[in-house]
Amino acid sequence: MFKTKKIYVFMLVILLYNFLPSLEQVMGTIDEAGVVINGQTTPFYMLNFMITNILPLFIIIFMADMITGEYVQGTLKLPLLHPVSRTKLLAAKAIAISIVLLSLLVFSLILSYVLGTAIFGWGDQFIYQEADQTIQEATTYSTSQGIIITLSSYLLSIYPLLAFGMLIMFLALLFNSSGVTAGISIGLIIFLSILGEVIEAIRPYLIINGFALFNILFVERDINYFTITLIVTTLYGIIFYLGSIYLFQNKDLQY
Amino acid sequence: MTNKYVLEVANLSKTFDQKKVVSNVSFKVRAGDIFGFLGPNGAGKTTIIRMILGLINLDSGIVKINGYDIKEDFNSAIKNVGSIVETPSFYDYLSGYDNLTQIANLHSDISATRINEVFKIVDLKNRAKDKVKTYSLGMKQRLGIARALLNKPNVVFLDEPTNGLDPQGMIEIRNLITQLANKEEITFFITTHMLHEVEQLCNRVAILKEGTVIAQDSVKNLLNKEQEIIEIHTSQPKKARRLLETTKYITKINTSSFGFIVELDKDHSSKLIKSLVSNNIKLDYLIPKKQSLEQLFFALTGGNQNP
Ligand SMILES: Nc1ncnc2c1ncn2[C@@H]1O[C@H](COP(=O)(O)OP(=O)(O)O)[C@@H](O)[C@H]1O
Ligand SMILES: [Mg+2]
Repeated sequence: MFKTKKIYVFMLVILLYNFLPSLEQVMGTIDEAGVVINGQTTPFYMLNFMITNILPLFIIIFMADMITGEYVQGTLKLPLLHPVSRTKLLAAKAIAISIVLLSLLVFSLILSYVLGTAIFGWGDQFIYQEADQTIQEATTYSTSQGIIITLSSYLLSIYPLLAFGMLIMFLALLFNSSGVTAGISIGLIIFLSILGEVIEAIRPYLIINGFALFNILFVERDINYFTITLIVTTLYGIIFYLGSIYLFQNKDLQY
Repeated sequence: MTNKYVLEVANLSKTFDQKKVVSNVSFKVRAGDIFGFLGPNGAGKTTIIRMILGLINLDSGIVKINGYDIKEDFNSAIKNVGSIVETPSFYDYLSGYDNLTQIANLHSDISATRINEVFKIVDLKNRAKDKVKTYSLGMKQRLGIARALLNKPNVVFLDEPTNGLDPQGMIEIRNLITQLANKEEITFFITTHMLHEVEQLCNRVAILKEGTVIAQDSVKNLLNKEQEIIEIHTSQPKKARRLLETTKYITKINTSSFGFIVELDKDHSSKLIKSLVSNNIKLDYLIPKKQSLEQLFFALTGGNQNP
């Protein structure tokens, strides 16, 4: 897994992403927005930013390739010619993707702590302020709490991303083509986020709302909403995992 | 192995998109066989291997490997099986060694020593650390065989193992198979569209045409059917013909430039020689002709053979 080029391409992309705050600093957009940012909160800002775009994209590309790419190359069947069940194989793929995701997140976390501190200074507390908030309305935590919250947020994000990964796995098994799978998945993300904007009542029940889990817990601090989102995300994960198993069990492996 | 059949296949059928690709295929492979599964391209060989190995669901039929039904106890059935389905596939960006390690990890009892051992068997030891994308087709085929041997299987399935190789590569692979069959007592199930491969390599054969088994027997029996063929080289064709035409056990006489090619009932050749000699027919040569599998194959499949 770590010998593929893909993972290094993604690390490079994350590296570039992590330079965005410094770019904004240079351009003055952060001052313009009047938002306080420091080294302690940069990772949290970065996660908020990445969770809706680049991280789901990782999942789409990795998962589509791991299922469809390997299927067409003929390597997907290899474990199945040994005492490994199809259910186990899919579980192993889910674990593999979690490990990759974890590595990328840790890489990004360290990078944004280092770069954030280098550019904005460490600061004296954790302040998370959204563009439309005044400094009084901002979410604040002490430094040590802030670190714990940041680490928890990164870890917690693996969960909704994995549930989303199960959806991609399902689509990949359905369409047998990484191109089609990626296209449909990206289209779906865009469609669902627009849908969530238009019909707000529906938002908690969309799979992509799970990406906001950590935000709901640590910024909105709405425990009920968090619980609902957690359950919805879990259900999506389970349903698409079982769906994937069903598709895979009945699939004729032709390559 | 208590069960003398390593592989039992009964009434296998498969339809793709309303096209019956495999119909009612049955055969048995005994321990120690090198079983040839012979058929032209598109006959259904790969599909049947995939069905046996559980990659494709069966529409109907039963497959037992080492006595275990693949539907009831797949893990036991597949445990002592090695296989290459179509061209062997690898993670190109990994070394040959790493590719094998991945498979070794799926079993609890394959040691690093065993990995080195199989590299030695297929003579790839000095390339083990190189990435697979730098391998030639012949090397990939050998690496595939090495991978298939990892779990010390008692039966190995090879799907057209010499397809696409140069003559030297073909010879190497065939020698390797023969050697493994003899030394390690591995039963082989080999598909091929090449007749001479079956003649050279296999002791038993099933012939597949359009998804149906049209003949199956030991290679020896198939080649020595009821008929024998003898070339008679003579300078007295007229005299010889009169005799041949009145001989009961001769079923067919073809005239040729040197004399005749006759087909006769099995085990009558010595009688024919005696009769020719006692009638004072001048003979230059008598050449017994083996019926080749090729002729047989043509006869059975109606001649649409792929070389
Ligand atoms: N997935 C599929 N869908 C439709 N037809 C198929 C499929 N796979 C194989 N076939 C057809 O089944 C027949 C047998 O194919 P195959 O088993 O690959 O033959 P062989 O290995 O003997 O060359 C061919 O006619 C092929 O076109
Ligand atoms: Mg084939």
